[in-house]
Amino acid sequence: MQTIDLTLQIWRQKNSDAPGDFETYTLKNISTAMSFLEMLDLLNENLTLQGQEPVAFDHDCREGICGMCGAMVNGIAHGPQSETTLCQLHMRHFNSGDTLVIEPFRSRAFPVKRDLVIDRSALDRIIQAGGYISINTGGAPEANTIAIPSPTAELAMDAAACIGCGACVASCPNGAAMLFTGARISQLSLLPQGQPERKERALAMVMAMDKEGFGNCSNERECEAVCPKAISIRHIARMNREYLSASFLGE
Amino acid sequence: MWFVRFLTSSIGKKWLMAVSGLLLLLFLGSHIAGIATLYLGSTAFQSYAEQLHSHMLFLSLFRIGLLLLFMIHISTGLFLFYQNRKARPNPYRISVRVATHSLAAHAHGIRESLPLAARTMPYTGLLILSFIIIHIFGFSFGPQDVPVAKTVVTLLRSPAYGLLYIFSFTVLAMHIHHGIWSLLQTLGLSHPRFTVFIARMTTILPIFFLIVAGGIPLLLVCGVDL
Repeated sequence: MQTIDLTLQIWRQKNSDAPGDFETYTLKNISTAMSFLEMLDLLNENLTLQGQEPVAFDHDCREGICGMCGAMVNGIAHGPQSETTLCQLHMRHFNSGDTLVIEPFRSRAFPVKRDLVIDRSALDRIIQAGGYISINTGGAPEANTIAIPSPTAELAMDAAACIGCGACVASCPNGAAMLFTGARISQLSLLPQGQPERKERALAMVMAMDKEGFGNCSNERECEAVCPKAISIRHIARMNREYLSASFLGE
Repeated sequence: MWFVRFLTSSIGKKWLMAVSGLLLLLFLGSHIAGIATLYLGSTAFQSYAEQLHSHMLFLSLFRIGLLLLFMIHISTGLFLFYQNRKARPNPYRISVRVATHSLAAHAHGIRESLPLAARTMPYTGLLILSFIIIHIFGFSFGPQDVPVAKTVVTLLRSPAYGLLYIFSFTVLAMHIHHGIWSLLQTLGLSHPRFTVFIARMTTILPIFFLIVAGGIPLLLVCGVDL
């Protein structure tokens, strides 16, 4: 089994109010078959055995679909591998002797709860503002009652692939949540079920986004470059279109 | 009011930047077309200037509109710059930029604008503002008893002034290089059918502008008589 040794500089912070700082750890004999999170597990095992506080980090499915994990690894959200979450990043992409700086996703709207754990509920509140369909459908209709052309369904699915990890916000030089909100608005605006509330949704979700203290998009494209689901900034353009038409032509 | 609510939203402010930027771009086009008469010689340029100044009412209205546009573009830009800095109070220890081109453009093997141009928009914008101030004080508020063609040729012939102009035009070209693509994206004009066309225009238009406008000080500094 191939192993590597790493120096880790990890952000440690007791709680939202405490000032944080970087701690340096040396971790030896890391199997290159490990995922990044398993490497952190190994570190935490060692820390626990030494009687120290383990590093807090969020994780759940560990297969890139839940959106819980995420950290900045040497300045890149979810690490240097593109189109993967942190849990899908494997240690074979690093060399023995590397120093990794691991920081939490940072944004005014994402307060650090502890170490690498952040509060992303700002994204939930954007969804709560309109990222749903509220028509009374009665009993479940037959699956093919509403015909949707395959390319449209694909396009909507590209947007719906968003797992809400917050990497777009974390990597945006302005801390903007436009890719997230754009993907959510796009997904429903493309589908027939989303049409009745299309305009209200665009207005409400953008207003909710602004209220959370995110920055403004300056079209630097960093978000889609780090997005583990490769969501295109074309969805931001669609959101701009939706918001414009809702503002000027909405009821 | 819906319009105020729209303009104070994040997308509304971006829209303000895009629309004012587009109008300023149109002004730049017309301004350069006028200035290009200098290539036909000082007399042609002088008669263009006199022709333009004979429509005082039109010119005054145009100037007020232009001033308004600049004020909107600059103040909104600075406000956004300030707001965006506040959105991340704790900076990263290491911050790496990974974006080169958008995924949509990447599929065609092209890119819309250089990441450097995107990153430096507030700074290139402020450089352009200081250039415009120098430009106006040199020419618009220049000596009134001398024909403007003579003022332009005399000033731009001095290497320091000429090089300042060429430098400023390069900065401006970089600003509109990202600006063109950015404003279309903000206005929601993004469609696979136009990706390649737009990406080409973001490079061709600024370079065309740079050649036409930058050529004048370049020729004058090199000692060519216009």
